[in-house]
Amino acid sequence: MKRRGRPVLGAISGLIFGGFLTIDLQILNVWKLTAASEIALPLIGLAIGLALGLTGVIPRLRRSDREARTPQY
Amino acid sequence: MRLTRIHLTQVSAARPSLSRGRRRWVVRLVAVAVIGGGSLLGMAGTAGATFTTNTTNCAGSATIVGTGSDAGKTVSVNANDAKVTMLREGDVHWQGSVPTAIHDNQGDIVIHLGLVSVTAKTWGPSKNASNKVTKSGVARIPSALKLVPPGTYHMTGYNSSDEGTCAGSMDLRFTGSILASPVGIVAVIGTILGAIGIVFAGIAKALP
Repeated sequence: MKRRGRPVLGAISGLIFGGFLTIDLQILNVWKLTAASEIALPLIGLAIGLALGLTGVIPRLRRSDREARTPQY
Repeated sequence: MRLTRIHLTQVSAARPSLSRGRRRWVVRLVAVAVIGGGSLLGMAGTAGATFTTNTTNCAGSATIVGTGSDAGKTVSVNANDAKVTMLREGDVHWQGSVPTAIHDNQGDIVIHLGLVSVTAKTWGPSKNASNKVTKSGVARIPSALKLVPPGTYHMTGYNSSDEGTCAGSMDLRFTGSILASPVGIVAVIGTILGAIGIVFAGIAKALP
């Protein structure tokens, strides 16, 4: 059985996250809105979201897993 | 009664887990993202220049007298300044001068918002038949500025004439809370939802 995440959701969420984070940083006076800053963070977010979605590195805890992890005597 | 002990190592061995290579790849990707983001932040720290071209030796200054919510505040700004902290409500008492009269003047002031540029004001062509070397006036800050989210905005402007060009740039800084404007509220909610989406996408799902 293979385990992986949701790459499409990751890519879209990463793009949204990066885009809104760009605006947040502008509002917080961290940087000015420039063509570079407007493109860079959404692309970085997309890459991270896609990577997480492809690999599914965050483990999913299921009831059976939880029971199996609990030492039984 | 027989007791059976199950070790965690046995469980993890039974479950398919990510290979070390994959994990390293993800760690590298995150590191690249952090370094890339950091270098961009470093780039963003540079302040705007003042005069980029000034072949006519123009000069200018303004005093912004706050009204309404900014009543009692006064901001002085010179054309040589690289940055000004703006008021959202008030009157701008401006004046500009050149050592010798210039003719057929035209120009504009543009505010740059990343890929989008907004023209704030245009003027000319005006002949200046009376050979004026100074000009002054009072302008009211547009009411739309109250809705502008806080942040630093890059502004450029120029005036070209038969005798030469005067161009410069300045950073306009608006202060305030991130949640004070609708744009800020939407941006915060969007960031949180995006982060939740990324985490959810990264949760391993069982595939047959």
